Amino acid sequence: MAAGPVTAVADVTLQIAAGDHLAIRGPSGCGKSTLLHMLGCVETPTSGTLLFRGDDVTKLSDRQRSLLRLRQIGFVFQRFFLLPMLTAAGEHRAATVGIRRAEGRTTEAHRELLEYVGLAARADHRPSELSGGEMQRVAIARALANRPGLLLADEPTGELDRTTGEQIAALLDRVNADGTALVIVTHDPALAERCTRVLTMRDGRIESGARPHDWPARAPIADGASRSLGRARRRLRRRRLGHGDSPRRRRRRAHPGAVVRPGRRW
Amino acid sequence: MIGVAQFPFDTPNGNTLATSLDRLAAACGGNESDEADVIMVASQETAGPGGRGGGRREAASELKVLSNAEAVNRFEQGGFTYFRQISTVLTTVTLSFAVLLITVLLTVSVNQRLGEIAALRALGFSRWRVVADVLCESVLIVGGGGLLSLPLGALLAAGLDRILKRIPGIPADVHFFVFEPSALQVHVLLLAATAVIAALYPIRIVARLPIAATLRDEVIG
Repeated sequence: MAAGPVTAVADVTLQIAAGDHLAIRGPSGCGKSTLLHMLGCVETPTSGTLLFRGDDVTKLSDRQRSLLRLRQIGFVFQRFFLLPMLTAAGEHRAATVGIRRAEGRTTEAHRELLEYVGLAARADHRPSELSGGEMQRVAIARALANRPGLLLADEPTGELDRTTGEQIAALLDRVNADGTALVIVTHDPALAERCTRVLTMRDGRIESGARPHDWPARAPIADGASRSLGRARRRLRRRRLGHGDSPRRRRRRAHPGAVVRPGRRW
Repeated sequence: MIGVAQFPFDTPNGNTLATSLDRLAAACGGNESDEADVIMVASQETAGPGGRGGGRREAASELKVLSNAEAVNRFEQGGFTYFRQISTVLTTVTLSFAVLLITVLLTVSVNQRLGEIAALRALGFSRWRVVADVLCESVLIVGGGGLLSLPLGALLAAGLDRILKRIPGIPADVHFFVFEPSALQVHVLLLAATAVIAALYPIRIVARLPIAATLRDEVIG
């Protein structure tokens, strides 16, 4: 007997603003990854609205959604998914194919980004020659290759030991502090606590954290990224209070990074 | 001696000579009637292949007049039918195996990389780009094999030529395998068709890959 349709996510209203730092938590099978895939325009809801910077993603063709992902969204996966035949620099180079040279497809841009993730010395190494943490750094560099405004990470520390996981978390904090909105799906409470907003899901629904005032109390951060993270938090606080917004930022706030509006069922 | 005749297609041990009909008649005792099985006539280039032949055909209706090109065509069609059939069968079998092998190779390779391909799609690689990557892999495999096959094919042809020329009665200057540019064109066309046909199934897998479900399966699996 064929299984019927499964409602993975339902009645979700969520808004991701530019520069947000959001964690999605919940038990296995609660719809975290499905929601992340929808935020990344990989999946579209069967009903409801999915907006990315004001554009309805459900009305875009597959090609248009691919282009949107290529230019504006980065993905980091639990299992890295690096191509075994490519070096770290090659991964980054491959991710920029289709992007104009002026927008970062240069050797200098490749080198700078590998330096940014702390892997400049390993640029010519293949995945088989890298540790788990280094592979995840390469994956982060690949995701950032086209300077996306939104970075989505699905259990980015799931395959790493505690120390390496903290280093990756610090790197992600830095990416967010430098202006990229970051959404992390995680089971790791320590990683979730680093985020300015934690969204808890259960049975396909959001239990808490959908609205900014659901933000949890901050936990102390004991790593080198605390200073830049502090800057990001202050910036976010100013944004919430409506102070210090530049005209450009005000325009961006009018068209936030990604918006999911309620629908009956996804 | 009134001239020198060359017999480029004579057998290596052949004792062939050229003479005039009068001298041949005298050598045979002068009683032979003036008969010939084959008469070879050289004509001016401007007269074309049927220049002299047309006149001869009018002179004797039982004459079959053939130009050099027509004679070679008849020989190729009749004399090499067996070789052509063997060649066609061998080519078909070889290409079929090549298509099967490359399809299996690419399918296994694609199935092993489903997670990576889904990740690339999630990162914004278009459907056409991943399809083009698989097609490129197929072209590289087939192209590499095709390039390798050229010197190997030349060596094999030379070896077979030597073997076939040992058959008694084969003229010394006859070659069974001669390089023709048109054969290279056919070779390239067959390779291109092989690459495309072999890539069809793996391309179908890649083109229809559900990104989110594959990423989920790869993590769970």
